[in-house]
Amino acid sequence: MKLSIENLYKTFSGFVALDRISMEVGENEFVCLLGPSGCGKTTLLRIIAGLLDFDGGVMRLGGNDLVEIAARDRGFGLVFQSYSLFPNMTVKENVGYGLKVQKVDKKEISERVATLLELIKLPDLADRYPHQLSGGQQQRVAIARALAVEPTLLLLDEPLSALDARVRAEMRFEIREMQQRLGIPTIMVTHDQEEALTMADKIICMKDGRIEQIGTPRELYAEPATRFVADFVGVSNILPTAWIRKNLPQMMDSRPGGKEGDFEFAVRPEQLVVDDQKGGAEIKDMQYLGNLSRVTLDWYGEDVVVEMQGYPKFTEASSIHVTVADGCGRWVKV
Amino acid sequence: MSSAVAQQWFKNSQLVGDKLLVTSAVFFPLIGLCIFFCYPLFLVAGKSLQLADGTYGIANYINVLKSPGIVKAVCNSMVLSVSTTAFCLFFGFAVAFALQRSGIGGKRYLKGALSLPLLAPSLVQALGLLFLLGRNGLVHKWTGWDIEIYGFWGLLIANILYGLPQAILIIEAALRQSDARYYEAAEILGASKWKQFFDITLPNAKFGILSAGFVVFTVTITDFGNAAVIGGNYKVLATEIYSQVVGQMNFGMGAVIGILLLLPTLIAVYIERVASQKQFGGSSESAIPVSTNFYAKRDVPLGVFVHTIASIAVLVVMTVIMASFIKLWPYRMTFTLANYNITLSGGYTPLWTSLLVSVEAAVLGVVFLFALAFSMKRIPPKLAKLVYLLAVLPVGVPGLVLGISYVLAFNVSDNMLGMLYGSSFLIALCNFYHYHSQGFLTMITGVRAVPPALEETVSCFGGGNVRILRDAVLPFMGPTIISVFFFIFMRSMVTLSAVIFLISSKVSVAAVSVMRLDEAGFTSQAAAFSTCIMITVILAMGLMNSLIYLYSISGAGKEASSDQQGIEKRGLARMVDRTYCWSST
Amino acid sequence: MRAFNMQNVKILATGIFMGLAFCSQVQAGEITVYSALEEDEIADYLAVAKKSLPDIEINVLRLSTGDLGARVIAESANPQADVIWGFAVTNMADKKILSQLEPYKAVNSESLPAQYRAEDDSWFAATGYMGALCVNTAVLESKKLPMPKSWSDLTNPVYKGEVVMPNPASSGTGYLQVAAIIQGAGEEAGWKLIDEMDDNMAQYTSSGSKPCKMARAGEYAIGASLSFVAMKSVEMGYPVSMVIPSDWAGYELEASGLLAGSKNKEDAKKFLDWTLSQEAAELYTKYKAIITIPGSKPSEMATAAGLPENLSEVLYPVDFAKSAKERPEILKKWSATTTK
Repeated sequence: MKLSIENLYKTFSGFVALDRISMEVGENEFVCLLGPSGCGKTTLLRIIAGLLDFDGGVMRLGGNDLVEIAARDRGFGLVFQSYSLFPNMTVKENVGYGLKVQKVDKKEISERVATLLELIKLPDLADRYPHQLSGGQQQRVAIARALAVEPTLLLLDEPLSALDARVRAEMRFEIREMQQRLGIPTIMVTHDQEEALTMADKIICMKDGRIEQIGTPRELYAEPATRFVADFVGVSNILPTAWIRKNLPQMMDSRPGGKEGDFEFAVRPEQLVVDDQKGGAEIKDMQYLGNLSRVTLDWYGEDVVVEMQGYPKFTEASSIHVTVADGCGRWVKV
Repeated sequence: MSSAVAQQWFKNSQLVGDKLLVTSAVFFPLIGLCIFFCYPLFLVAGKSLQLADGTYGIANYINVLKSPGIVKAVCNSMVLSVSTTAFCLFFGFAVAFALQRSGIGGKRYLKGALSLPLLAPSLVQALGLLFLLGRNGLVHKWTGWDIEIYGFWGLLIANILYGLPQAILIIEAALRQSDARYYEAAEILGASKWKQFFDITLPNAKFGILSAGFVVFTVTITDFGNAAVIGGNYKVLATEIYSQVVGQMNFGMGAVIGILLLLPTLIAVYIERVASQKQFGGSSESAIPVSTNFYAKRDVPLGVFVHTIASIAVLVVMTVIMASFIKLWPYRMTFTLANYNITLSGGYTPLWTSLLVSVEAAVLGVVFLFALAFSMKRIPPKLAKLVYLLAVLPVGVPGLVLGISYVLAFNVSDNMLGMLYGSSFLIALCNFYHYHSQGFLTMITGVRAVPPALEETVSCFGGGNVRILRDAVLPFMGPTIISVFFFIFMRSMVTLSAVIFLISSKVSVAAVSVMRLDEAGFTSQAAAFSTCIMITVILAMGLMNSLIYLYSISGAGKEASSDQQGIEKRGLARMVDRTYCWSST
Repeated sequence: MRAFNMQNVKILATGIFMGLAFCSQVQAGEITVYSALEEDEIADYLAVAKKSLPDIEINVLRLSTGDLGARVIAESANPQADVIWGFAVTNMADKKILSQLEPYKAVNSESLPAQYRAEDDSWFAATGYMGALCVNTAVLESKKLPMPKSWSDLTNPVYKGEVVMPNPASSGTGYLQVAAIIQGAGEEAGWKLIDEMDDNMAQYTSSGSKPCKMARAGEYAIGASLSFVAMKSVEMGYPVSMVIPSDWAGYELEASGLLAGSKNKEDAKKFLDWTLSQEAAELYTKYKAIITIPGSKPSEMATAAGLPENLSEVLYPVDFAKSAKERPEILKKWSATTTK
């Protein structure tokens, strides 16, 4: 079933938390709500879950207006940032809770719980209590609990933010793989752009309660529409119009019309080509990362970061020449 | 170089300081318990082994167990205590829930109304019930019903009214900790509000409920006051003690029953400990408190139910207050102020003594109990078990026995303890230890509200125990500490059975004055004096409340409003998330 | 920790203060009296005593009979009182209390008839109180019950559920009533009477004055209590009549004695002498039912109750020592007889 949201609007005592949000989640789609803290993504998730009311707009699931359906009747699954596993129930009881509520037959519950525990690769922990599990394990149990009721929509609220780096990487893969296998439409909230890029079919990038851009990871990375997206998703060098006019006048052709400050030029570090001809850029700093090197340059007065393979041939404080690779760089709205 | 040394020295001294803090936090209250509870009790045990002819043996125990009425008294006591506990837990939970989690109106009124039985001398309660429901009471006069209030049912009502506030105190401390996120998780999973109640609310409050049950059970089984006034022919163990000690001056036998009454207490402790083993999930630092919204379907019936109970409590007390203005109840119902002109037995002086004593008891009580509760987690488990046992034992000792034990222990001429005898300070100590268990259980229920991660955070930042105390623990414990303070204060103002033995010709307390006035036949004056006591207590508490309020709005308030607490908690939560010390694995 | 140091300082300070206070207590000219007399009588008596004994400061602690006995026994290791004044003889005669008394032949005590003082002079009784029935005339009227005149009357089935009496196990008053019946009517007849009364008895209260208080409030028609409470109730305006049972009028003497552990025996003795003086006897007429001091006027209460001047005609010579000794057996038999 498809989830569609049109012009959703939410205020908290005068403060506008969500402003004209319109989005869709299709069957089997993995959508990430990406944005910095306070952008409203968790609020939006909670509204979708039914835990929060909204002040305007329409929200539909497969044609049914969700306003009339209470949270407990929506049949969604929600995994909280802090897992919120019931502390007085065992893993088995936690996972089976939703089914118990639906008064499913006991035998069926056991079978289903066992299947799920296999799915999350923790079949032996059925009788443990949450406080006896590690963070990663609790995370997986929380996911299993949400999946147990075969939800029509899976909602994840920053599920990986409390885990350490290695476990996080593992879990990213596992969640994505699980979702694809089960085919459940999923919305995940995260502030980590790397997570969004690796896991999502579609990213909804948000800032200050508004949607900045909706697109595939590739679209957001290669074709950012706004300065914020260019800067938030990956790293960008942002160059003002006046500077472009002076130093890269050929780029002005592709500039959309408008006032001086309306648009800026964004170019990715790997899209800048450096050679040791003379002119224009002074090396300020060099970082060697093994497969990559990151070089910070002062380019006609602007600080830019260039990324290149291997180890650069030049030394610090030398003057080098920088160009933008063919077909790269875009004008982005400010 | 030297700064490194200085840092190391600072770290060491902080470690030492920490250890000192925990040690003294356990040591002083324990010493107090030993001197002012265990030792006197030990002397009573000794008396129980002392036979009529002065030798020692267990003949007293055998005599008691063989005496004909004892089996009936035991059965009666058990039936009464179990029923009272059942009712008090049910009503008490309803009220505590209504106060902490629901959106009903009149919460302040409710809190006040249900504290009335605590701050009224036991005479007031019993008298009120008689005036209302007695054979010649108001209800009989107005409806002609013949209610037999004497006996089991009257005693049950009186004991429920007495035990209810104590149960509410403890259960409230447990319900104060709430985490909205569990409810959201259950909501998403399709659980109805009832299911959420049974699966989340009740299990999380289990510890508090069990402790409350323990307290109600033991105060009922040791209560003598209600049984004497309204018990009729329903014999209970506590009245047996009174018969033996006061009626027949038979200390040995009385002491035996007193010691025997410790048995149900010990059993209750054991049951409660075992059952609360499986209680997990203390609070988390990013817990979002449950909002107290108004759900009509839940809150309207709940509100009606709870307010009904409260009005019974109020009615009982109001009847007595009214009676204090009546010339001759129930025959000459004319209004008069004459009953307030009290000149007997020192007039109103004992009231001021009571105030002093009660403040002393409450201050001492809160400091010691908080120290104990705070240090319970920081001492070796075996010691913690022992401390717990000692700390909850006092409730199993009837006031009468406690009072006598104090005389035996402190009426000695040749050591420092003897200097306390006859002083008001000893009365303060006695009152504190009499209610030690209730205060202790409330405190440790409240201490569970402090998120462990918060304490860890302070530690990571280099804070020693003092900082943990100030910045992590106290802000969460504020309401609990205050409620324990008021509880001890109120009870100390009106408790009677223990202090009869500690008053002297020069030092007397208000509760004794009430008893004396009543015994001398001046029942209306006793009602008037009781009213004065209640008003004094309410005024004193009002004064203290405003002082606390002023303090909280001036500085780093300990009593933050729930909104502010929520914000504080969330702010700290973010800080914790980003601290490298925080690891969930 | 600072707070705990404060506590220690406080305890120390209190200790020092108490110590000083204690020291000052043991000065000459001060005595502590434990009494079971009624509050208002004590106030009256003391006012006069203070004028007659201006150099002595008299501190009185008033407790009910039962509480007083318990207190004295509890303090036996280190007695705090100098004098026991007006304490039920049945209790005074108990070994545990008797052993703490020091014999003192008070001035005038030889003039007391022999049954009103101990053989070895360890106590003497100047006054006494009687058991009496408090009868609520309003209840009698509304329930159309006849006025009872004696214990035997109380066995009339028409009073079923309207009579209350104190429990002799916990109340001295209850005990004196039972003892009077047994000693007066004899073992067999006495227990039969108690058994029959038990059928009508609504409840046995733990305190002696409670039955009268219940009766005067209209809870029950008849409460067996003390003359003092009955008179008081009448005085206060309750619709109550005081009835001294025409058979076996129970009574109790109020004994006084010197405690061996007293620290100021000289002044204590002076006080004890005063309690037997004519001046005191005059005061007693206002409050007491029984005054043993020869030559004293009959009490107002006794006259009001219609008792003859020479009370020894009506008062059965109760053997109090026997009463005290037999208490355990009597109580056992009582609980067996009154299976309530």
